[in-house]
Amino acid sequence: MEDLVGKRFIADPKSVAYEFINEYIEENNLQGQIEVVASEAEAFMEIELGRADATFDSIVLFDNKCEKGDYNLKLIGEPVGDQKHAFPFRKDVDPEFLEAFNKAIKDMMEDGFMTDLYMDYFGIDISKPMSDNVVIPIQE
Amino acid sequence: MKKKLLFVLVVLAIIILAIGCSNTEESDSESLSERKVLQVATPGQHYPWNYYESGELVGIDIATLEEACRRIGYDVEYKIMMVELIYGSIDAGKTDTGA
Repeated sequence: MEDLVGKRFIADPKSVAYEFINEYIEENNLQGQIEVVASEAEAFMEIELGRADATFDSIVLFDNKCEKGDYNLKLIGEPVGDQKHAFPFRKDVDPEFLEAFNKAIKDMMEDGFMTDLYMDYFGIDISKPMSDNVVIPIQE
Repeated sequence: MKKKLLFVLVVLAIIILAIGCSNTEESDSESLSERKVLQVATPGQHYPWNYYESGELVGIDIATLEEACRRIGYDVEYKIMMVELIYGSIDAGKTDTGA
């Protein structure tokens, strides 16, 4: 994270990354030392073109995004956090369904169904808690 | 004659309203565990969670929902909509969850 001093960090103002970098700057008294570019432009493209130096992104989606956009970027630095992924239901959802559904999801986490699915897509198993979903890509 | 026509129209309107109400009541009274069909709102365009491949809706969320529902004996139905509309749709009871 210290390497970001003197760099231009780009993030969509509505994103978790934007919130995170601003909190980090405030907590570490780095005002004026990391330039935060609030932009809805595709961050990877801006970094590739040299208009910004870094952003945050998900470890599991990084390779696919680089491949799709033909970006020559790499991940550096330590993981900075986890994000949970869940299905939203109404608070008054049928309790009989909810109990059965939650049990099925729990079983799928334990019996390897989710591991297989994540390995197929990402080559890593994110069914267990981990702290490396968010990292920093920076121009090669 | 005019009066009679108006009366017929009013009666028609009441009948239509009544049908509308009874339909709503019917679908509302059936709980998810009775209906055994999970209605899922999804944009179908967010790789790798939900997207189309060879005309078929696939992805991690889709595979997870399909497998969980298969295990508990539920069918899954999809309603394709913009991501911004998903929470509103669930909150209004038009769909059960989102992917």
